[in-house]
Amino acid sequence: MSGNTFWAPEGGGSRPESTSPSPLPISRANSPARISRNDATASPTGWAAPRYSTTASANGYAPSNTRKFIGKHLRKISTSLPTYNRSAGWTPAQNSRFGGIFHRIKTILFRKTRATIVFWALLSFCAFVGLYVHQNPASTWVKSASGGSKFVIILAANQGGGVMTWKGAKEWAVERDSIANKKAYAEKWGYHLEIKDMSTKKRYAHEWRESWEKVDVIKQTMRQYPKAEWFWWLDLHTFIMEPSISLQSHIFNHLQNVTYRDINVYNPLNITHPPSPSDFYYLDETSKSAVGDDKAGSINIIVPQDCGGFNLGSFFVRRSDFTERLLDIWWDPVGYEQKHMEWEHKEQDALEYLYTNQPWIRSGTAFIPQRMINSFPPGACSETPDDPRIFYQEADRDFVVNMAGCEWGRDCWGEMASYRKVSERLNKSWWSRWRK
Amino acid sequence: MHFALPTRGNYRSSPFLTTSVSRKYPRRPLYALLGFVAIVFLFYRLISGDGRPADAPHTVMVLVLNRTGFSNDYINKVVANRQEYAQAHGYGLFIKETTDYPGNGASSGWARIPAIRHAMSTYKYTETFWYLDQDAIIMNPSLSLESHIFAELPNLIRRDIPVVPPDSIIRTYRHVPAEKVQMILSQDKTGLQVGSIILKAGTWAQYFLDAWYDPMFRFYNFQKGEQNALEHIVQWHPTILTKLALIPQKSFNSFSPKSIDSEDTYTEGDFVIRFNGCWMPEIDCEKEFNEFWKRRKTIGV
Repeated sequence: MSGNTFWAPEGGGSRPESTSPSPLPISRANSPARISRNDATASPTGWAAPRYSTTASANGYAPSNTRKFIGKHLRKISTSLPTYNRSAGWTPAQNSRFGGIFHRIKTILFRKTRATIVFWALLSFCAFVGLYVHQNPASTWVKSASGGSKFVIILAANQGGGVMTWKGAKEWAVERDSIANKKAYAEKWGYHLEIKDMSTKKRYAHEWRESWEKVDVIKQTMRQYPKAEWFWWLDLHTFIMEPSISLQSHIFNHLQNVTYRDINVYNPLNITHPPSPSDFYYLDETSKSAVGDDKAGSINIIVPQDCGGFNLGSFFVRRSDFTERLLDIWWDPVGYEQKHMEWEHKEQDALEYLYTNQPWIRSGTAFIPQRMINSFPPGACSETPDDPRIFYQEADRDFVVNMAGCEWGRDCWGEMASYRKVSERLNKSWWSRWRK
Repeated sequence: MHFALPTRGNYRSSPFLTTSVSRKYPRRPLYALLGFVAIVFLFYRLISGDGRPADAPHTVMVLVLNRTGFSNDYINKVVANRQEYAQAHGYGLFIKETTDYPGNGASSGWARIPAIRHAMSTYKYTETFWYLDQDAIIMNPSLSLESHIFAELPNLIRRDIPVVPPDSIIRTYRHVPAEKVQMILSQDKTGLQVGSIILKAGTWAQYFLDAWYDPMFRFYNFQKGEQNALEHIVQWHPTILTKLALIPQKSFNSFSPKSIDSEDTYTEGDFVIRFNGCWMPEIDCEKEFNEFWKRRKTIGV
């Protein structure tokens, strides 16, 4: 019984005789006892009865001056703890050199003195701060390992650069700010960040195909990160306003509640949904339903809508068979050939077209209120300047701002800089507030 | 001096009584209960299955009738031939008219696509669907799809051949295993044959049919309408090509001697004969049909 107590340093009674004057394990480290024990292990005849037969000595604590009464009481309490044989796995052969060291370290760390308790508390506090609160490579790794690596942020940099436009100082500054913002966010939460150069390089057979690249880039990124699940597309002119919010807590932990399947909730394109029963009576029940099968598991693409319909400045796709098919058919050359002059928003119009005309897509698509991932600045969507569903509200701490269309006659750099300042002001730490 | 001690009077705090006795016994009914629940659950799963009705067929044949230009006698013979075959093998038979699927004015050949999707939503528990044009006779009804095609599929698949003969640069994959195939087709001399299609139900089939039936293809002025549209999507979209098996035309789509573009002409004992090109006035389809109608085998029902 006594050999099984909580901090028993060695396997009970069958110990070699210790020549140390003190039975405390810590003092034994410097004594010649270890050598004699190793000798004893080699020959079974060296095994002798323990020197002390009382419980106290077998536990490694002789009634010495260091433990007057607290030690005694602790020992008594420990006898009422649930008992199990901690040293069952220790054979005398293993318990030679390293076993002894580990045992001794264990013995020190599991003593229940006030110092040890304070030590453990401090250590766990430091670990908590270092791994969860403070941002450093270790904390990034922890967050990435605990689910962050399932997410990839795809940032489209240099859109139309190279041939179509020449970048000036402001464009460089916008790009630098935008990339730094995503980089910090991805590092904070352990997400992957993939910056894709979208410059025009004559990669495709038709010159305008360049600007339809989104689909191709997503496919390519999915091949690059074979273990990631969700891919978040972000245009260059976006800014993550609340970097302290993770994607998991913002969206994916309650995907079913933050998204909606029935486009009639907000339908600026007036798409007939569900497909009209007189024309599409031949479809299955799921395709005919306004909400598909209404399960979070069938959501494969999450799209926000602005005043003009789908907005692909900030959207999510999930790796799945569905997405593979969608990306494949999205890139269809007949659609491109016939419509590329007419579809000025390129793959965005193409997706709207596919959603309208191919019923299977509706059962895998979910929409998300625009201000969850894609708030607009006042300049965008000038048709509906008073719509509360579209524009950034500082009071509500919207997650992301998308300065959509700022390159057409608005000041991208000015907008980006002002939103960066807002974000910095809102997310000031208590320390810098206090310092002022 | 006594602040760290447990109360002495309470014997429940004694280690020997509590650990050795009271821990074991209360758990036994719990295990029994859990076991009981598990057994009930398994039994429930066993008897309920997946909700599939006992009489749901595993295979359904789809027939879309186009009565314009054909005598009632011809139509009746076609229907009788399919009924006889379906009944002999326990298949379902799903008959519709081309006018049921107007397709916003697309040519009648496109009706097969919504018809197959309709059959799939009607027969929810059926795995396999066989669409066969009305210009065909099942000549050897003793052959079942299972034994004649599905079991033989690994040997029948034609790998690494041009999707559109003779010289398309897109070729069928070399290593697609038969279990992953979702659609079985054959080729004639000029391209993919849409007169005899075997499809497995599922999300892939929905994707494929919807993509094929896209209005952009329907009104694109492909020369051969739905056939060219199919060739287009098969060649451009790897998600479709990977699920496709091309098998010899003879297996389930032999052409009659007068048919156009024949790759495999009908010989005695073949499963199916088709009279391709019926729409052309110089081919007297019904006459040839009636010749072969007399030569078909029948099985006693």
